[in-house]
Amino acid sequence: MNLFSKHLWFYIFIISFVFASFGNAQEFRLRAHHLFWKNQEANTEREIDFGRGVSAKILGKYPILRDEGTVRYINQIGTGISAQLGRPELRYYFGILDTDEINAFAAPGGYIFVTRGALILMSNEAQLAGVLAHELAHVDQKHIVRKLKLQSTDRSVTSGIAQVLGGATLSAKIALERLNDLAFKMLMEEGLSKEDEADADQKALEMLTSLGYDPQSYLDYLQSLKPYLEQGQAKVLSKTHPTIIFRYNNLREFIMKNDLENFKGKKNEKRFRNKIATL
Amino acid sequence: MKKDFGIKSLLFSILIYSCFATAQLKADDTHYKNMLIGERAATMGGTYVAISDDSTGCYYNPAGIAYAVGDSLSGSGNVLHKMKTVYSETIGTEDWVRESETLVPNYFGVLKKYKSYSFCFSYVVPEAFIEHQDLVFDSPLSTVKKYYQSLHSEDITYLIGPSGAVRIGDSFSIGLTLYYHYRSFMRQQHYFLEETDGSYEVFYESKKQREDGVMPKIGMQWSPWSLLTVGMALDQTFLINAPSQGDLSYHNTDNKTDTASLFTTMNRTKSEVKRKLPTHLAFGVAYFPTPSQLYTVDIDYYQAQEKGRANIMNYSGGTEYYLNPTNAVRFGLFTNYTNLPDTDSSTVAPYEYIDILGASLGYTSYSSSSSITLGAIYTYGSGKAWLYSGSTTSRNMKRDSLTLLFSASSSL
Repeated sequence: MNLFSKHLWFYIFIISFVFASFGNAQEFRLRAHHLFWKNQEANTEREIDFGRGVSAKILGKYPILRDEGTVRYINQIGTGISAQLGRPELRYYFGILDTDEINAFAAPGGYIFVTRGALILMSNEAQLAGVLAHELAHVDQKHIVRKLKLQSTDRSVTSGIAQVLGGATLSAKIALERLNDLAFKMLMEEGLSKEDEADADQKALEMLTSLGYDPQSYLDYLQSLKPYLEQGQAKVLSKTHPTIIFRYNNLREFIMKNDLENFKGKKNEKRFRNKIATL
Repeated sequence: MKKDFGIKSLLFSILIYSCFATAQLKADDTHYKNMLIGERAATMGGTYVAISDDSTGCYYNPAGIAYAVGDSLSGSGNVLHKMKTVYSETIGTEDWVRESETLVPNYFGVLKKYKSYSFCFSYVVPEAFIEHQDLVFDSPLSTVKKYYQSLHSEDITYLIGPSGAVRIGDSFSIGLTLYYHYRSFMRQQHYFLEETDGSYEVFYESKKQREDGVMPKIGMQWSPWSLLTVGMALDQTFLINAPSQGDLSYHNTDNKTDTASLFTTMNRTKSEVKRKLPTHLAFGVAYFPTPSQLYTVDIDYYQAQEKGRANIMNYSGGTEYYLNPTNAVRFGLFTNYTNLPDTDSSTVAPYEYIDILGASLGYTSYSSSSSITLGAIYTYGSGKAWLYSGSTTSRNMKRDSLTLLFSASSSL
């Protein structure tokens, strides 16, 4: 008995290792909510990786504008708007594309770009905020991700395409490259659906009004695009958005419905002019 | 004690006092599973020995915390714990009803993981009993004109301490919890009795007691094959000291004998007698067929360490089902058997023999980093009570309780 007591801890240790050598890893303990949020996190990581690849393609087409003051200003405005979104897991980046073309892009995962041409066309901060809010809404609502069916809707089984994004094999990498091309083409040529654009417009207007910006300014900006579209100028990437009339009318309806006709928000025209003066 | 007075006129008050002599007992030291702890555990009938993979595991089986998914902070409180005991035809032909109502935060735990080690600090209230009664009886007996009784009693046990666990391989873990045991008990009772001839009795008693001790709990968990875990935990509370003090005063008159002050006493007693709490061995099995379902059963064996207590086994079972990834429901059944020996014709008061069955139900809503649980626990039991000191006559009794609980936890 004494001998047994003397070596008790040794026996426990040996028995523990014998036990440990049988049996299984305990992944099965993970409950449905663990798996769901784990999957969500994985999807977010994949979305960010994917968005980074798409952004690289955009930056391959357009050079980035290295005007520190203006870029900081755009980031301040954009970050303020993004605080209203429901995706705290994302970090948003805002950049200016050094081109005369008039457009703005949102790549999945939080990468937002606005062109120098678009900034020059704008007349106040409310318009800038409207454009950034529109692009942020695309990210928030995962419009590109959903259109490409990148994200699994099944909580436990990831879809084939999402697995491709998470894969490390050569074929997975090729498939990812192909998806980046598809997203890039969607941004540059095909555009998102009319419904997604209308949804982003509406959400942008909601964010503008809640931040105290003048909603009409955003509509004015859309109106200001009209001459370029009518002239069919290639530098306005008209294919990527539904007709301005459709969007304008849609937003007017939203304003009327929500009694926002008389809402006079801030425009910060002077500050905007000062900040983009160097462009 | 009062029987020693040997005065017939005190008979009624003796009966009543004896009645409450039963009430002076602890929260309910004849049962071991009076309060279920935790959020998942409590809503699965306290069946958690083979699971225990969150900070609640510190209380049920410290080995389980080795499998916690991440660092967490959790707390739970009983929004309401209400218990009602009815003794049939106890005061004359009237039932005696005892009710207790408490509202206590009964669990708090913080869990931290480091590699294959897990550490936890927890606070548990496994017993809480607060009772207040003000009773007035008009002419309960032909010789008694009025009887007034006031009773206030509080009995709360706290456990607080650290836990540690380590995984040995993928399928085995061991853990240890070391709780400091602190119990605070106080009771004040007063009664006034007026007889039809004008005689009266006045009684006042105050009692208080504290207990300090330690409760080590060692546990292991093993997964012999996928989807199944087995858990075992052993604990024993050792009391270090248990000072108690009782004050009693009594005064009466008896008009039949024209004695102005028949009996008057004031008395203080002190004691250091320590309870010997049972050795508790818990064994559980859990089956995890899918991420949305689990089934678990526990057996709790208590080996009595003092005379007048019996070895008993309690059984419990629980299930968890996810309606979707963010909403889960749970259900549990459990027994809470008395730890008193079986009764027979020689059983004498004070004695309560009642076995209790319970059911629990709960709902949890999960977000990415936190969860909120709402639950309800209902228990019911019926048995026999021997109330009048020295008497072998028993009465029917029944007890039910309802607990509404609220828990929240957050990952760190």
